Amino acid sequence: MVSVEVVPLTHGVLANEIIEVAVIFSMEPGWYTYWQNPGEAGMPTSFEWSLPRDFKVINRREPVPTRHIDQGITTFILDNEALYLFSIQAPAEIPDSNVFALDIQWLECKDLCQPGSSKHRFMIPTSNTPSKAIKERTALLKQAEKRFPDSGPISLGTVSKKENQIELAFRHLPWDRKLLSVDFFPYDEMVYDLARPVHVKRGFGKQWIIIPLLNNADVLPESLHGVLVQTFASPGGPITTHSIVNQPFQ
Amino acid sequence: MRLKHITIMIIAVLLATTGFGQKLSVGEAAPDFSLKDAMGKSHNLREYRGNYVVLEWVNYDCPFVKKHYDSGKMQALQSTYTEQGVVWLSINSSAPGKEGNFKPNEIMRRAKAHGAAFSAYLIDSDGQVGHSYAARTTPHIFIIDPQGQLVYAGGADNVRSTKVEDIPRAKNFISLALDQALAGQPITNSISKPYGCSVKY
Repeated sequence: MVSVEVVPLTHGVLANEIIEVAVIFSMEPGWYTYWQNPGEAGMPTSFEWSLPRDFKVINRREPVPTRHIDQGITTFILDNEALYLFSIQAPAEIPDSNVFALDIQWLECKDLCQPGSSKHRFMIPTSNTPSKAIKERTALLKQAEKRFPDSGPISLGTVSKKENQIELAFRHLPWDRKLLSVDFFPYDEMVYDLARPVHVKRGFGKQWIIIPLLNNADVLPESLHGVLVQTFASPGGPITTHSIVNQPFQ
Repeated sequence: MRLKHITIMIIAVLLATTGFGQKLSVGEAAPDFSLKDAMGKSHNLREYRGNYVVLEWVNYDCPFVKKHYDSGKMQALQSTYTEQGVVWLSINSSAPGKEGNFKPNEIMRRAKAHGAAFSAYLIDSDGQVGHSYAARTTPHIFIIDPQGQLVYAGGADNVRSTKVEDIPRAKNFISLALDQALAGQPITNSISKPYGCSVKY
């Protein structure tokens, strides 16, 4: 149903270098796993690394999920092929060979759910010259980049709480840049009401993105943090952007 | 344009009244219901006024439910609290043909094999009661006080996994809530994130 492959994207590691490791989930048609915030059910996939001494995972990228609604239950899922990319920082002093171990746990579902797990162990030798990326790296990353959210800063307006919803008001949106549709995948759980749709509100020449809150979400996190998916009208056809936002509440 | 707005308003009203997406809040009156158990006997929530009532959404084939039953934890909680007068209603909302929807004799066989000690196992195949409580996962726990108010809604514990070995290190929200409630104290953790398989409506 679900198989996992771990691919170090380098042949060797140099002191102080950042190396990348890809973890590729291949899911049979109809099967899926869960995003880091699984939504109203399910379980996020967990990655437990055992790294050589003083190595550190400094970044993890993962695909934008799909909103999955089944009989009124909303979950955030990953299907088909999902590539996670880990960036690992090497320390100033490293031994000749470096053994990495990764223990992965996930929940895989179709009509029913079952737990899945896999253990991986691999070695990356120490190099004295800047490491040369493996050939497959470019193709793999090119394919993965299409599904990763853009982590660069995006121009947002003000984010404020109005009754039981969050309103994101645009500051610099050109008047002719009409938002056709929008979605938001929050990193924070138990804050947003996933059963009510994220939508666009228009009026007085302005556009707002409305993100519903749970009735009992009295304590808000410090910021609106998650992946914002926006589809804009454009002369050449709709354009969709996927951006990581981390915007403090007003 | 006006017609479009009216149509949107009508859809919004319909959505708000169907139960889909409606979240029940702690402190509100628990929705009343009447369901049959695996033996064909009817149970009405109102009959249990005066007692604390636990509603446990269950699907014996869900790996998260299996964790709680294979460890013996859920049955131990059922025994402990029903002996103290708590009414424990396990509810299954799986639709016919979906995972967890069993015939009555299979329910009884499985319950016996688990050593389940619920007060009743209720069948909600059309999912109406599940939707009225916005039950999302198995397990999903709701605790109702003797006056019929919802006093706890959420998960069974705080360790989101399917592993039996995680049970001892987990903070069990059911026992925390019931111990405080039965001692006449306010429940400190009255809401938690439920985790598990989606209810198979």
